[in-house]
Amino acid sequence: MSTVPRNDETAPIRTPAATTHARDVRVTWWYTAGSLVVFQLTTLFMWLLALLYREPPLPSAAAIALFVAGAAVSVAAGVLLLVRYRVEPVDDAEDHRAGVPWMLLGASAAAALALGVAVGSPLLAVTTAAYALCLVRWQGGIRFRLVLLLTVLILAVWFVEATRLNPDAYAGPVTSAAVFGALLVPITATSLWWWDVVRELDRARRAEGRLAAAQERLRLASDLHDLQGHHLQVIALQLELAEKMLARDPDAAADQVRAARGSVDEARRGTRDLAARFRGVPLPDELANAVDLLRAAGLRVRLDVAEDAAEAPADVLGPVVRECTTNVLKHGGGAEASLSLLRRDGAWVLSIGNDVRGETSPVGDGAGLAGIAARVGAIGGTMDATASGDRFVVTVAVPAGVLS
Amino acid sequence: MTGDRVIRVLIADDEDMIRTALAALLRLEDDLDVVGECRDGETAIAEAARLRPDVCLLDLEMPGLDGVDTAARILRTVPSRCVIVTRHARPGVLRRALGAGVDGFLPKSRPADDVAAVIREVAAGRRYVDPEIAADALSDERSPLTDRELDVLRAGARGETVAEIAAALHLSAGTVRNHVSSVLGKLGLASRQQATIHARERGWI
Repeated sequence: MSTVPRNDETAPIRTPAATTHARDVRVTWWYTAGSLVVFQLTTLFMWLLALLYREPPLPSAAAIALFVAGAAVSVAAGVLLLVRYRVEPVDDAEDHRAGVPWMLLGASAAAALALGVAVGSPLLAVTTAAYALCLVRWQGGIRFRLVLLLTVLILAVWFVEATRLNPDAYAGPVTSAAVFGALLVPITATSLWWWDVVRELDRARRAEGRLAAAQERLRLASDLHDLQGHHLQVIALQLELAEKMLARDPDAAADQVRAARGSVDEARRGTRDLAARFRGVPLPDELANAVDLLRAAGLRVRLDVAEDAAEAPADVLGPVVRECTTNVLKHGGGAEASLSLLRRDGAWVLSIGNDVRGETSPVGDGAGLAGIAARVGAIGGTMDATASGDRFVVTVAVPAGVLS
Repeated sequence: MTGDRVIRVLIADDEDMIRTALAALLRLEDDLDVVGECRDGETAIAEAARLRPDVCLLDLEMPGLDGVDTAARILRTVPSRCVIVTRHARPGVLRRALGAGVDGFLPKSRPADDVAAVIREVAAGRRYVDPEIAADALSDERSPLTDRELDVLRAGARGETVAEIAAALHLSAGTVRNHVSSVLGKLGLASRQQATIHARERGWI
């Protein structure tokens, strides 16, 4: 069992908590989209109040129905536009639906017209249509100009409506409804701009991660090149020497060939250690993998892992899991196994048992358990292998809180 | 070794140099006889049915059927035992091999003496899993994805569109899209292709 001590430089790389970031970004989106929908609903509600509580004559049932229908279509189109806005590509080409969503904009425009007619206010029609226009991701530069234009337009319509068309109504609820309506456009534009900034930042974070990975890969490539280059050179020399000595001293030549095989083995081990730099999983995952393997091999397996087991010293206990799992697998024929990693009296206790007493195998059965006992002992732990009846249990206890 | 019986071995490996060298080395053992050599899984299945070897030594990485699939099909028809050799055990492959009933699994880098010893072990009814391969399998990254999310990735692994995945899994396109965005969120990736590659490299799909 090769357990390679890792120095700091080759410590396994832990990926950053990408999922937390992804969740934060998602929450930001729901917050942004949710506030926009709520703001639009509030605006429409204010207009409805203005419609219902204005001076007599009271609005006809048809006007109210028209208002409700227009409001429903406008909100629905707004939500769909928001959904579309979100799924538009970061860099996923598949979901890319290029162009402007004319259908949704058309529906919004019709709804805006209906609302305007129902209330008798061009301002409501214009703000509703403008809101929909702001929910489209326009190409660079267009959005700012569009928002500016729409704001000017809204202010102008408002001015005309309040002074010429309908001056009497602009007293009570209509004024606040108009204010809300006029604010809808700039608020929508800034919120979506804010969302784009968050998304850009998120993208930058991902790019940073990819860059780090690329740099690590480069470093690995250069390490690998050095390692292989060195060993290949040694092997070439050893073989050349063997070739020259073959006629004169066959025994010495054979020695050189054996040495070359040793070098090959060394190169292989070095390569493996380099690759191991990228491996290394938390102890609970390793145990779960062990259970998967043993179950695949047809054993009944019981697993019992403490909730905070990820804090157990993986570099000491990991090799134990590996050695014992390999042994259980190797001896085959067993019917059940049990693995547990629990915290007991300030110590981590790992225990792995199965129902077949291990006999030593002729191949590759190194100083497995003995080597582990030495490492465990070095950090003040204990290892215990007991066989009772046909049950074989290995128990390792290491003090909690050691970092070996 | 035991002397009373010769173990008949079939070797399947598409790399000719390695296969012929290994066969020559194994033939040097008194108690082993390499009765057949072939270069791919389909041939190995046919040869195994014809020769009925005691042990089939199968390379994992062969064109067409891989070693594990080949072993599974051989074991269904012939009372042989199968040993898989590999240059690089990809994640998840040991679990698959054990599930298929493979009895031995070792890296190609082992000397022929070791391979011979493993063949004897397996022929005697024992199992041998190389410690290096077991260690690799134990340090496989666990999949953070749910079964449904893996189904979606699997159904879209050949570049199928969302609509095709939805049809294959009897889901709505919206549900598929939700699964995909949840996968991307969990893995911190930007596209479904990347997620598929990520999952395949780790043996999740």
